[in-house]
Amino acid sequence: MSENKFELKILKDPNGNEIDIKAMSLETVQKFMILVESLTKIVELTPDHSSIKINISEGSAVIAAKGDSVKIIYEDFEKVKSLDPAVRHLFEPYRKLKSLFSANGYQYEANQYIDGQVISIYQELKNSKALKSKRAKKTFEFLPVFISGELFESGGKTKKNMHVQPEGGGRSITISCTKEDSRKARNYLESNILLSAWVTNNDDYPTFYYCDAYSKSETYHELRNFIEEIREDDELEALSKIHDKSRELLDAQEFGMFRKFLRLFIHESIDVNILKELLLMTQSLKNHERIKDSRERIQEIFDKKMKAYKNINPYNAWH
Amino acid sequence: MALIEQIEESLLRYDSEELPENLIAAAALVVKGNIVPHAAILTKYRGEAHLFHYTGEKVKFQPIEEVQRNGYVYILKGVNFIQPILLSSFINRCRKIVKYSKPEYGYFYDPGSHYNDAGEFVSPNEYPEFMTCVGFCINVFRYFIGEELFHNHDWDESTISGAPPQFVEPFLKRAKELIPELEYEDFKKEIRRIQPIEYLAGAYSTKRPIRKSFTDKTVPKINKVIEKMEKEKAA
Repeated sequence: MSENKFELKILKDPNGNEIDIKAMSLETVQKFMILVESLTKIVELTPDHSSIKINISEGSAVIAAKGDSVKIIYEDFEKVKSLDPAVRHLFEPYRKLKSLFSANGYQYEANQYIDGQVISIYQELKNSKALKSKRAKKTFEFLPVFISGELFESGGKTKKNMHVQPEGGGRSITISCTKEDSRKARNYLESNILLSAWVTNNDDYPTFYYCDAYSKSETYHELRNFIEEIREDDELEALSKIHDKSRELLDAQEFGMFRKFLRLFIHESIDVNILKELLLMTQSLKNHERIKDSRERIQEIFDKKMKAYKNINPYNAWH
Repeated sequence: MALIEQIEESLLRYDSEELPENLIAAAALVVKGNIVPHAAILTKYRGEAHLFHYTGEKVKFQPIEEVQRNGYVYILKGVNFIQPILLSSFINRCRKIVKYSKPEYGYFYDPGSHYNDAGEFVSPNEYPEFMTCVGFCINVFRYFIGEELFHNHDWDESTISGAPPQFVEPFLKRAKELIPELEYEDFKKEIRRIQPIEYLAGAYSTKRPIRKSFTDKTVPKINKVIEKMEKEKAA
């Protein structure tokens, strides 16, 4: 039989029993469904697939795609193995197969019959490092929050606090702040205040620390939108955006706005990579009168965090 | 711990099971058991490794699987001047450099030159973007760490005598084209060749800038360990 064929099979279950397509357990048919879905997807995404016929047969549970165009599936698979971006649409179904094969228990086969030759791709697929599933993205967890509301009390005898009733309702928020901040905020008493704060969770109860207030609504919205966007991003993407935003503001010489932007990250719990990024961006502005104070504070926090990190990860054979 | 023992423990092949999940390392290509013709930077971030290097033609930030497929073998030493916790900002830098760098091959390193935050090449004396594979790695690290990595003047013009003439001649010719005659004498002072094996040896120095006296005594020890590794692999 010289017809080109791409075939996926389940031969045995975890107990070593041979699979009979006429009497599969629920678990077996679930695995078989993955073979069916993946093969179907691969055929669907293969150009020139109209001549390919799909066949489900006995002798274990077998699904096979047959036809001359199956050769293209084989050629594409070679590209998939090296993660060639030209076939990125095929990564997903092959990843699913790899995942299935890697989970132990069942015995599978994955064969390609091309020009009269049989090639098993089972081991290759199972062991492919390239096709390992992508990890969940890692985001920066500690970022400021933005609050718009009515300021109804500011001050306090020992601890300085602001009390804000957020617009849209909900319980009032108590924000710890410095004496200076509390004094400045009194200008907004009983009117709307736009501010940013950092939140830490102490004993499951959120504690707010004052970051900054904004007299212009455009500034508030611009910064808020930026932070909300990077909150969802993977670390690398977020850093790239922080870089681009900084560049944009510095190129336009908007130093006032840039200072407000830097302020959002002047906190001990901000990730060192964000601090490093900002330090690199502002390297040439070390002595700029509008930037240097903010930069020095970022440098202090960065140095402190890196020192603490080195203490936990002391010199070892790697370093 | 004696240096040779330290090298044996920490010089690993890029495909070793012992590599940590997160890593920034100085990497060197090994061919025919003991020749080290090329230098690179290896990053491993959350388990995914990339090789970052200047091939002489292109700057690449390539998945390690591609390198493996081409059959190249790299050995590595984790750098002690950038902590792995800073991997994401370092990789951000690498990506920018891939986008904006335009190096030309040349045995040249001008102290203070570096790739800046935007990935653009900066030379204090505004020299062209000449570098070797080693020079590229130095230019990448320089800005990130904020200090000179190598004590450049330990390597003078005579160090290019060992370089392949088919690369030296075109470089010198191109340099004469680009550098005004008045500046050429100053330019010549920064002609140097730091070899990939010296770059790898430098990663063992705990002091910066790295001195040639240190790399001179460390290189033979590294060569011994590389030979041993090759024998063990062949066995």
